[in-house]
This record gives sequence, C-alpha cells and structure tokens, in this order.
Amino acid sequence: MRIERGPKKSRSGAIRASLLGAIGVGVAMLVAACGGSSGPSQAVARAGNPKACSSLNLYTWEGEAPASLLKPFEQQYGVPVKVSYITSGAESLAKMAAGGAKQYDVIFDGSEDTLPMKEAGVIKPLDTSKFPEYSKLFPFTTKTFEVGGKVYTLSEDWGKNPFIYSTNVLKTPPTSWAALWSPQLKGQVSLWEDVSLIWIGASVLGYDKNPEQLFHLSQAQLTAIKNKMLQLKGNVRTVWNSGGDLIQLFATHEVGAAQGWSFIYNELKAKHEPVAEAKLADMGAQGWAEGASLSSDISANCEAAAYEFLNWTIAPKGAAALAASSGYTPSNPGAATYMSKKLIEQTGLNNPKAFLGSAIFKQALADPQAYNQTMEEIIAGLH
Amino acid sequence: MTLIRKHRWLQAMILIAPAAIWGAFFIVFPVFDAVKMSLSQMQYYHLVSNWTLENFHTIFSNSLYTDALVRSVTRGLIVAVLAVALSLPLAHFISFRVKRHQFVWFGAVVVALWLGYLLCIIGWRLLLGRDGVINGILTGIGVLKHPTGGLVFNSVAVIIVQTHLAMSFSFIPIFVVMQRVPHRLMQAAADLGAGRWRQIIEVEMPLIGVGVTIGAVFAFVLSFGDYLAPTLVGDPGSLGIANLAAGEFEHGLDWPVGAAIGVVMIVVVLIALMLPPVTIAISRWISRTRLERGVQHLAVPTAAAGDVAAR
Repeated sequence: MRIERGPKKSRSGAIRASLLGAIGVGVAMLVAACGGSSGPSQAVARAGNPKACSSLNLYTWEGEAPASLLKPFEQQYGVPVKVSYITSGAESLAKMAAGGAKQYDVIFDGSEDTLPMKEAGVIKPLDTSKFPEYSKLFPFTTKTFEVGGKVYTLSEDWGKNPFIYSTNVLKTPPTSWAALWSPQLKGQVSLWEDVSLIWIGASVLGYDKNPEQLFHLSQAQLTAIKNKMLQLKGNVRTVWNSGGDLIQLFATHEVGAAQGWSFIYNELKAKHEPVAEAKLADMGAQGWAEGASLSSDISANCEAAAYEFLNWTIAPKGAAALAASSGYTPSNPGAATYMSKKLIEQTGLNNPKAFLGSAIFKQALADPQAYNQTMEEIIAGLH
Repeated sequence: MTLIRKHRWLQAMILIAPAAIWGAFFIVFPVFDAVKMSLSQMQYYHLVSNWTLENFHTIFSNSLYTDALVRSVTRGLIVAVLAVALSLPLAHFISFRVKRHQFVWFGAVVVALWLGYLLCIIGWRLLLGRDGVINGILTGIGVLKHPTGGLVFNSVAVIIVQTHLAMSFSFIPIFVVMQRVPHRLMQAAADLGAGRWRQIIEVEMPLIGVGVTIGAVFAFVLSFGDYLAPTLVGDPGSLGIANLAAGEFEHGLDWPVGAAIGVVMIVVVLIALMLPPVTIAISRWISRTRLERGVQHLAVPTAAAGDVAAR
C-alpha cells in the first residue's frame, strides 16, 4: 500500500498510433462477445457499446493516470476518463463501501485489498478471456488477485518495499532485517507507520519460512513479534507515513536506515544521496502487486469501455507509459520493448526474479484489527 | 406575507432556517453518523448496526488507547498553558504599549502565526534537526562538539510545534478582549498607587478572563486533535489518540472502533468548550460578590460617620 507515487512525465505521440492496434484487438474481442445481461457475481462481460459510456470514472493512485495513458483511449473512443486519487487502500475500500461503487467504474487496488473489496461486494469478477495479453503477464503477480478461482483484479504492476540504508552510517551492506537491531543504528532507524512493520519482526523470528502464515499470524506470534520489535527501542528515531517524509529524513541525515518504497529509493538516488538498497535473504511480505478492478455497479456500456481501457493499460505500450509515470515494474514483460534501458533497470524488468528477491506479495490479513493493534502497541512502546 | 407578519414564530423559523439547515448538514448529521458507527461492528468488511457498547469497552479496557488519551489530554493542557502564557504579554504589549498602528502590529503577528500548518511543522523539523540552524549555532559557538539529534523527534518538540500552531488561536481572543479594557482603568489603578503587576493582576486579568479561557480552549482543542505534529516531529511514543483513530480506519479496517475514539474525542472537546461559559458565570459571581462586599465596606464608615455627626 503506497501513498505517494512518482512524478508525471510526458509521453510521446507514438503511443497514440500504437493504441490503434491494441484497441483493435479489444474491439474485435468485444464484438465477438455475445453475453447477455449478467449479475455482478458472474465473470461475464455484458454486451455494451464502449462509445456510449458518457465517462469512465477511474479511481487510482497519484502518478498512475498520466495523459500518455489516458489520451489515446479518450481519442479513440471519445470517452473522457475522469480520475480521482486514492490515498490508501483502506480509504478506497471505505469509499467504495459507502457508495463509491456507483461513483467509480475502474478501481486500482493492491493484492491485499482484493479480498476485502470482494467480500464488501464492491468489485466484480473479470472475464480474463477478454484480455489478449493476460496470458503474457507475470504469473506470480496474476495469481495474487485470484479469489475462489476467479480473477477480480487485472494485474498492472508490482514492486517491493526495500531496506534502504545510508552508506555513511552502515559500511557493510546488511543481509537481513536483523541489522536494524545493530548498535551501529542507535537513533538512526525510521519505521513505516504501517502493519508491514510486523513482517520485519516476523522475518527475524523466522515466520516467513511459511509465507501463508504471515497473513494468519496467531495472537501468540503477534505478541512474540511485538516483544522482538520493542527491542528496537533506542534505535528507532521516528516513524514515517509518507514518501516525502522519508525522503526528507534521509536527505537531512536524520535517519540512516528504514524500510521504504522503491519510489523513495529512486528519488534519493536521483538526488545523489549516499543510500543503498540491501539485498536481504529474509525480505518477508514486503512485496506488493496492484491492479485494476471493475465496480460492481458499473453500467453495461461503461463496462465495455472499461474492458477496452484495461486492455490498453496492460498492452506493451500502455504498460510502458504507466511504468514511465509511476516508476513501478509492469506486470507485462513485453512493456520492456517500449521502455528505456534506465527504466528497465530501475524497475528490475531486466531480471524480475532477482529484483523481487525473497519478497513475498502481500495478501489480505485474516484479522486486520489484531495486526493494527500490534502495530500500534509496537509504535507506542518504542519511546 | 400577511401570514408571516401575523405569526412571530413563523418569522423566527424563517430567520433560523438557514443556520439550522447548515448546522444539521455539517454538524448534527455527521456527529450522529459517527455515534451510530461507534455503536456498530465490522463483520466481513461490512458495517453491522448492533447498537453495542463493545467498541467503547475496547477503548477503556486497553491501556494502548487510555494511555494515548491521557497523553493527548496532558499535552493539550500543557500547550494551552504555554500558548496563553506567550500570547498574554504579546497581546498586552500591542494593546497597551503600542500607541500607533496597532492593527498593523496585530496583522503582522497573525500573518506570521498563520503560516501553512504543514509548512510550520516541517520548518520546525528543519530548525531543530541534526543539520538545522540551532545545531549549527550550538556547534558554531562551541557549546556542542557534534550536532545533536536530541532536539527533535521527542515530546518536547511536539509541544513546541503545537504551541506555535496554537498561538494564533489563543492570541486573537486575548487581544480582542484586551482591546475592550479601558486604558483609564489602568491609569486610575496607577494613580491609586497600584504597581504594574498589581494593575495587570487585579484590573486587567479579571476583565480579560473570558478571552484567556477561550484562547486556552482553542489551543487545547487544536493540540488534542492534532495528528500531524506527533507524526512529523515526535518520537514513536508521542503519537496521540487522533493517530490511533486514523490507524483504525487506515490499517485496522475497524471503523467502529475508530468512530468510538472519535466520539470520546468529541466528548472531551465538549467538556473543554464548557469552560468559557463556566468561567463567565464564575467571574460574574466573583464580581457580584466583590461588589456586594465593597458596598458593605462602604456602608460601615458611612454609618460610623453618621453616628459622629449625630453626636
């Protein structure tokens, strides 16, 4: 779950020309579709005219709706895409449950949000046969969005939350989260105010050996993690809760080590800050994948338009446009064809497995309240 | 029109209606919704109205929440005292010492205090940080050998920042009531031999009590509900009750507990808001009592003088 996204960048006009091919395939698929009216629980796209959709309402993260992604679609179909921005996964779930399902057509959510959204009845299953590129997407990302054998979210991009450290503070590259407990880091650590700090303790205690277990931790395990994390007292200087916050903390030398985001790391490197990303053998559940879902209340015409739009977002050129804007790794490896060498390396698309490393993708928590309370108790106990 | 002219209650209704509608939409309904949510429960990511007090039991039976509540109230009180203590001399100086262009001074103070909320916090973080101005001065004059990290990311830093933020809210009501203190009263007190401090304590303070109380309440409410300063300049243990409420919505997906924290916060704020009317009542009672005592005090010599005259 991220709050800030990378800056927008201008896209080349070549995307517009290439859009025709991707949309053409989508239109052909749509014409071939002959499903009648279907309920929200059925993974069948209803017949509809995409051009008859008055506007496609997109609910996504900042930096993930660049003009280079939206304009070609809008020009092709004459359907304006209206964008609203998410600040957190929980906020999007709250909004959707409070009537947002009628307001938004396409929602970007993380792998950990798909199950809650499905349970809340605000998204509907997707007909993956409508996506010609679907089989080309990284399987390790697409499977994170399956619930009960159905796909509710179309995988768009993925990444991880790395261990960032100052090379001025730590001379030897850390190989485990356990390095955070090092006396060298006294008063130098910043923790993200997020439940994912629990997985740092879980990794150090070895609970990540069974990835599934990380999302179903018992109260005894959560207590053990809390006790372990409280031993960080003295090392933890502050908690952070926005990308800009951590960037400033590193840039002003207030902290020397933190669990961060790839976006933060890239920004710090771009500012020539002396930081490095640790290659850990015990990353734990610091991986994330996100994608697009369809609102359960979407109209037939807008659903048809949404399928066209989603096809474009995962097509190599569309996915490359999205990656250039967000800085995150596209789920379609074919996007590399249209990405710069620097961006390919930055997003790890040249070696995705190595880029992901030992990180495990987040899933929905069995008991979010227990995790949240443990996180709050850890933070409160660290002073 | 005749109907309206005929019935005074209808005229009153028409006059009150805009404010009542505004209040209903922006105050009554949201608060009612928060209270309703606080009595509900989350089941499979759905809000279920159970009309239960379980969420309040969760809050008051867990030291995580009660400690944060006590921390926020204590910090709010400290900030209120500091904000008033700093605003009083400033308002007094502008009201009684500045002879010309008083409102330019007032405007300058208010504008300086009304910097962007986030900008203020980040500014203080930079000022107090390892690479900050204060560390630079302390190392420059040889007080410190190396910059210290102890100036920021602690409870004291949160109080400093919140006091700065709250000062604009405490300064304005204090300045406004000071404007209504007749200068001749101070002059009269001086003529009768009262020193500067006695003038302030016995003449000025009783007249500005309401403004001071309102300023203190504003400062308390701002600090009590503040979410950002503890996050951006506090240590992990500085997080207050507002941060826990946000966490229930953001991470815990337990909106009813978050709403219950919100309701508890509303009650605390309402109690704080009761202070100004209570203060007014108390100050009126004190004034009345003093007046009565003064009358009695004056009555005794008069009677004695009468006796002397009769003799």
